[in-house]
Amino acid sequence: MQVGRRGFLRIAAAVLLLTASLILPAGAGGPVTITFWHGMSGVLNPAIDELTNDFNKLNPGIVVNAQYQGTYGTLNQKLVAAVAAGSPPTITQLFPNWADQLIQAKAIVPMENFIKGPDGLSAEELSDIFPILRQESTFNGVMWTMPFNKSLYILFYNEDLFKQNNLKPPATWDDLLNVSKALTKEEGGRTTRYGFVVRPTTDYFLLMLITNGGDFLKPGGKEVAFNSPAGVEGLQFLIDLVQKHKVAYVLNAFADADFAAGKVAMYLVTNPGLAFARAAVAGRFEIGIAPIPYKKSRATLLSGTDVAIMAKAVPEQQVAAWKFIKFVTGTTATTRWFMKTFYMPVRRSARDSTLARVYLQQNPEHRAGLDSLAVARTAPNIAEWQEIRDIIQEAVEEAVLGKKTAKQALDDAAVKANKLLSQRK
Amino acid sequence: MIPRVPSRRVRRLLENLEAYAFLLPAIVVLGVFHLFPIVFAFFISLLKWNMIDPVRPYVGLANYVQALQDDKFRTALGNTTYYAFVSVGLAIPLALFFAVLLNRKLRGMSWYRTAFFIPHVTSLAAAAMVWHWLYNPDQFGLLNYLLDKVGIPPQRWLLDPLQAMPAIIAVSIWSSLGRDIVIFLAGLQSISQDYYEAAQIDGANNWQLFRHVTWPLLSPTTYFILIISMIGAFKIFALPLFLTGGGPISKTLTIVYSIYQQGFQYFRMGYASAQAYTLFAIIFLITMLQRRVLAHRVHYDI
Repeated sequence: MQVGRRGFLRIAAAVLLLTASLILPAGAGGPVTITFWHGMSGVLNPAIDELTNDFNKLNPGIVVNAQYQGTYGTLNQKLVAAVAAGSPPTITQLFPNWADQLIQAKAIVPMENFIKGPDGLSAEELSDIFPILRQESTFNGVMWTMPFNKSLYILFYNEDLFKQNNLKPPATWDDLLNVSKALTKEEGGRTTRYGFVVRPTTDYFLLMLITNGGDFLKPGGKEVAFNSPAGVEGLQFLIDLVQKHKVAYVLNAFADADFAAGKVAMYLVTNPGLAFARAAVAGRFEIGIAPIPYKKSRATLLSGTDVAIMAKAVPEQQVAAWKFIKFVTGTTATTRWFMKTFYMPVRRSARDSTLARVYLQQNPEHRAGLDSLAVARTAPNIAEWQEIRDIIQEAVEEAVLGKKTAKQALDDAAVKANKLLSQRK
Repeated sequence: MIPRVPSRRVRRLLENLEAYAFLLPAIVVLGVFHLFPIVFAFFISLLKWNMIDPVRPYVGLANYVQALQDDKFRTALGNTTYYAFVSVGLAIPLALFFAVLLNRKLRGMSWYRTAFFIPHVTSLAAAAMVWHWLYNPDQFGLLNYLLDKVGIPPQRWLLDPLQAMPAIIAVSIWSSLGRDIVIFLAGLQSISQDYYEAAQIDGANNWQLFRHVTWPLLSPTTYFILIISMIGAFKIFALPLFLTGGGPISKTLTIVYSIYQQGFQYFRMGYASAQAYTLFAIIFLITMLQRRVLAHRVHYDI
């Protein structure tokens, strides 16, 4: 193709203009574009896109780009790298212990600024958010993040199997043991079905700790308390289920596949696990849900992430971000989010809404999760907790593998964790 | 108009300019992704820094002291040494064995050579996913399925504290064997046939040919493979990352994995950099040691 000098200049100018329009911020009057980084994979991804699309339709002046960044671990790495490089998103999903680090680095702005701002929340609207969720978002008395996709641990069980054997879902540790005994099946010297499964994870242990009246940290927060007698007994209980009673096995993976295959009758998981369990079970049996079995006190562990607004975003973006956060954590959106993903609704008004009531009548199994919210506990929202989780995880593995006694493993872990806590500013 | 003849100096500069132009891409890439990080890492190894906190206090050699006292880092050091010596110790004789077998004129020899080389050009991440399935701890894993056929109970492989590292070593040998074989083959083919003929006339048998002709004349190749394999082995990271996540109970936690964990999971960049420099010192020492002990045994000719 022949392009004269003039033609060439014209093309060059066009390319230049096009590039400029792509990289330069939109001028006044154009829509405000904000990015939302999240880690919602699989069945959860369409749910988040739907929320975003709804918001974009209702707010012509704002364009929210929801961007999947990978697993939570990857999201954390990308977020820190982006903050370090000075190009973070406008909004991000984050765990409370990440927030602690980002606050210290002045990388996020307090949500409280917007809650109390001109387009903020009234006192009732704020207290409508479950107190335990607000507590987890609060650092040194200031609410820095907004609870978004919060979940908690519950027990999933194979309802058909329970009905056939005339069993009730276990309420206590003793029940858990007895039901597991009843449902463990042997054929030709080989166990073909276990009552329960032990995943050697931090959370399995922490659940035993708190349902046995134990605590994460000692009062004052300078030392850990998970190696208390309550913790040792909890860990030993898990080990005994496997080794002494032989009614459970150890699995280093998600349990939904084994559950669907009928290899195990019960397991512990957070609410959004239901979407994955349903996909795996594919209607072969009914999935029942019950609160976590307890020994001394009813309790469960809160999980899931919050959202925060990044400090680097320009004021217009921050205002738009707040508008988006207000929308997705509002009564209507959080109710729909709950029904789509099985994450907890973050507001009382959402739980008590007509929509949710009707839904709960049709799906009564969700009551267990919602009721557990009243006894939910939050792990310490400090940056060090992330590494302490890994330390506990290793202790649990050591004990389950029989390398150390439960007490020895937890005591050793406590020494390491206390050393970390002592270095905290 | 008579063109001006450039002076010699200018001409040389122009000639060199062309060379520099060709070098520029490599210089930029090496500078940005290798040289700068090397210098910068040393700088941050003296700081306490989490990448995002604007406050990054200077702590001197505290990070290095911490590394030497850190049980986890010592575990990583032990695991890496175990991995390096066992994997290199097994891989080199194996590669040599297959190289000698493949160094013959047979029909379809190039097919065999290709077959051995394929694992090396396969993406390690993709291969690790396949191995993950082979090592599946229940009876669905191919290895356990085969064991079951001969009446051996299923093994836990990557989840067993004693089997995990050997399992990783097996994959790493599988993956690097092709590269070592190709280098050995090149070495074997550069040995002049004259030596073999002379030895045969003197009545040497096959073993004597190997022992007194092949082995000494191959020593520069063996030495080269030993050095690069050792350096590579101390940098092992991808396989534990994909196969075990450093577990079970830190049995496959290697030095680079520990650096990754400290730097990109706990965001202790200063401490991670100090570990990286410690690793550099270790590799440097081992390479020097190999030179001291082995270099004089390398024959470049009979």
